[in-house]
Formats: sequence, structure tokens, C-alpha cells
Amino acid sequence: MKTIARTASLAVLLAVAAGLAAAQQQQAPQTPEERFRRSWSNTMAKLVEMAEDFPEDKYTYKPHPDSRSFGEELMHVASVNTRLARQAKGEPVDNAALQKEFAYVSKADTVAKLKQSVEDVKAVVEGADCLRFIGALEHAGEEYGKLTVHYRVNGLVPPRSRRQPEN
Amino acid sequence: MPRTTLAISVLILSVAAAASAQTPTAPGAAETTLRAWNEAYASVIQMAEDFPEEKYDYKPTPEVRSFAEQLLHVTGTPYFFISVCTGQKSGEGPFAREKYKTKAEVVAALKKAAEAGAAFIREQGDAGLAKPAKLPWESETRNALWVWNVGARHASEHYGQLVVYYRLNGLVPPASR
Repeated sequence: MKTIARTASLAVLLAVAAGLAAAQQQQAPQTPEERFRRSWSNTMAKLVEMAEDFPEDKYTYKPHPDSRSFGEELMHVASVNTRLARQAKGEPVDNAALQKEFAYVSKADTVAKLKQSVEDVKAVVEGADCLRFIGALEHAGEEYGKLTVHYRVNGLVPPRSRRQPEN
Repeated sequence: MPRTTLAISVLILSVAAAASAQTPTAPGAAETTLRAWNEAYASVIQMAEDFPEEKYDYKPTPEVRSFAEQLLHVTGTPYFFISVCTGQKSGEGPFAREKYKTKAEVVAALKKAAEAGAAFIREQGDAGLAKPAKLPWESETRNALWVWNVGARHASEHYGQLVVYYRLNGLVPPASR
């Protein structure tokens, strides 16, 4: 009886181990589309984190008069997301109107519009042809990089540099 | 087989073959990763070649990397990612500013590293990129596809940083001209 119980326990253990291994394998992005979606969501999460974290009184900081301010960079990302979302739905996009809609107003407005844009663009990111938007992902990564320097020049440490990175 | 039936069969097969040849196949993992990698590194290399050498040691604040150090950091990462995927040390680096003293040396090392990364992605192909790989700071094992995707995005983020270095020096980044 003891042998049967030991064998059964071993079988259960092996089954659990196999299940865990399979689950871990499932976590890895297996296709370019899955990899793109995970990357997109991580990059957007980092931008939202910065939007919520950066002091409002520094939102209008710009490294050069010709550059966008911190708030304007985030609104730029939000407008790109919104443009992609609307174009995917076949809605006409008027550049001037979009620019006006995403003009910087306040930190709260920026955070809200950025978050909404991330929601709105989800359908595009989930689409089968999402790889068409790799350029938009690279662009968002560049914007994130710019904002890390905005932090440093203002004597602040970017959120991801305050802890061990987890991409 | 009657001649007419044979001719129709050949025609149908030819049309099917032609249609199949015209159908665009979705790019594979290696192709999309290589494209993202090359685009990201091309942008950084363009800056490395363009930025004035006398400003290479500029840093916006004392605790961050200088322009040259950013480039050398991006130079070292392909070798790091290769070692993550193979489990073997590359033997390249460290890419310290003391060793790469001139702009020409930095640019040459950066170009060589970009090509090393591109060559690795090409050699691995779709099957190689599906192999398990784990970045040391991540809790879960993912795969080489993920690692090289992180690599491309990492280069883009540093490109974004260097855009601000340009502006802080009163210069316009190449892509904005």
C-alpha cells in the first residue's frame, strides 16, 4: 500500500511540475505578435507611471525652447495612441482638432488622457496585424527615454531607476 | 486522362500556385526582430556619427552617463544579450570610455556591436529565437525573442535620451532636421 501511495504522490508531483513548466512556457511570448503586445503594454505602463509620478510644477519643463515640455511629450504619446485607435475604427482624424484636443492643460488631464488613450488603442494592439505598429512602439520607447533625461535634469530619479528593472 | 481535363488541371494548379506566390506571408519572429533591431541601432549610429566630438563627454547631470558613455553602453548590450542566450561570455568589453577615447573608436565599436546583434538574430532564425532565455533581472524565463525585443527597445530608449542631450546642447537631432 505504501508503494502505491508513494507512486501516486510521485505521479502527482510530476504532473504538477509538468503543469508548472507548461505554464512557464506559456508565459514566454512565442510569436512576434505576443512579443509586440507585451512590449507595448510594458512601455505604456512605464509612461503612465512617469505621468503619475512627475511633480506637476515641473510638467512644463522643457530642455530647450524648441522641445516639447514633459507634459507635452506625454500628450504627444496620447495623441499618437488616439490617432491609431480612431484610424483603426475608420474614423476621420483631423490633425488640427487632434492637436487641440491633446494640448497640455494639467497633470490630471494628462494622466487621464494618457490612460484613456492606452485603453482606446488596445483593440489595435490586440489585432492580428499589430506588427504594423512596431514603429509606434519604438517611438513610445524613444519618448520614455527622453523623459528619463527630463527627470535627471530636474534633479529627480526616474521611477524605474529607483528599483531593480523588470521589463 | 483526356487532354482537355489535363489542360484544365494544369491551369488550375498554375493559378493556385500564382495566387499562393502573391499572398504576402506574415513576417516571422526573426524578420520582425531584425527589422526593429536594425532601425533602433541605425538611429543611434546616425547620432554617434553626427554629434560633435568635443561634446562627447557632455552629461546633463553628474550622476548620469555622458553622450559617449551612453553610446558605449548601447555598444555593450548586444554582447550581453548574446551571452544571455548562449550562456557563454562573449569576451567583448568592457566598453569603458578610457579604452574608447576618440569618436571614431566609439563609432566603430558601436557599428561592430550592432552587426554582431543583427548577425546573431539572423543565425538564430525563428527556431532559435523560440528557445528559453532569462534576463537576470526578470523573475520568469522567457525566450530569445523576448530578449532581443528588449534589446531593440532598450536602444530606442537610449536614442530618446540622446535626443534630449542634443537639445540641451542647443543642437537639433538628425531626425528632426
